[in-house]
Amino acid sequence: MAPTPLAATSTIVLHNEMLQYTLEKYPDSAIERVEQMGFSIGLRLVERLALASTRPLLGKANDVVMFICKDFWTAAFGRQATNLRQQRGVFYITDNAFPWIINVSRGGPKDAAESTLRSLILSFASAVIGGALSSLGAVGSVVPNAHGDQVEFTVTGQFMA
Amino acid sequence: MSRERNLAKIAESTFSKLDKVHSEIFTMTYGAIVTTLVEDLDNVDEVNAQLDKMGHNIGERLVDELLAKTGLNPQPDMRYVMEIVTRVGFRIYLGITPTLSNWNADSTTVTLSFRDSALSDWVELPHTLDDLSYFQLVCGVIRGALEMLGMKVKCTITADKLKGAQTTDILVELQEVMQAKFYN
Repeated sequence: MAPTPLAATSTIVLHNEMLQYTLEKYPDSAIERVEQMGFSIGLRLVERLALASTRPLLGKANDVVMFICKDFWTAAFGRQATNLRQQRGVFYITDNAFPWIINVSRGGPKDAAESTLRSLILSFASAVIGGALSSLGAVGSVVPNAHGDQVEFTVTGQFMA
Repeated sequence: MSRERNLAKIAESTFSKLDKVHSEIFTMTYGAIVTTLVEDLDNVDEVNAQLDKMGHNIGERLVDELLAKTGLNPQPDMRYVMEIVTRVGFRIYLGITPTLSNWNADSTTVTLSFRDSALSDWVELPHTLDDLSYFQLVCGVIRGALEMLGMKVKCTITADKLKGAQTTDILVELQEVMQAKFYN
């Protein structure tokens, strides 16, 4: 079946339920659990996208990261990433209003539960991106860095070419 | 008929203003959740119960957004509310419009039929999970949403596409119209 567009809220509320469940069930290892899940989601999502893509997928690092910023970002987060820059082999992908955290970022910075949820969502998102990259033959790490609703993901990795 | 067209129009104009994602990320996420629950919990009944609970929370949140974005403010009238749920709610949040059929005479029970859905694309259940209700989340969503609109309902899956049926059917039965808590 072809992908149907649906409101971004649907995925956000689903993530939220998944994160709450994981936090309750595995208070000590929530991050690892959520990262595992995210990685496999990213991996499988790209397998699906690759079937429909006309871009070169397993090419140079630039091609891979472009695919992540455009096709993958649109499928997962609803639009393309806001900005991409590269410095000495490290890629910095910025989203100015990262949809997965917009609804949880309104609480005060001192709200502990809120900030736990926020960092869990960022770990999850990074793992989804990491899974997507690995599906395209890249091995490395994705580290989130958030300021308000803006998130910068630092991608350090080894690409196939 | 004009009420249905009107709701379809509201759905399209609301949908065009919302941020959208591909159904695939939703499908994958839901698949990962079900897989995790099956691994975590002792038996399939517990998995179904957990999915129902998650759905209930989701239904409460989605109906909130739906009313805010569409400006609809329905009275607890089962027929009208179910039309909103299918033509606006499912259209926006699942990208599909299920059909409503088999209304009983006093408009308290109805069957929702899903032909395709992002929830179960590419899903196959092994026989060890014959008792798993993959669609149980949707039952919870309907229950949670209608509760917010003042109606207590019971949802039962009466046919399941993943188990060979033509469509996935959910029987919705009105049990109680609750007193308005705050306004009216």
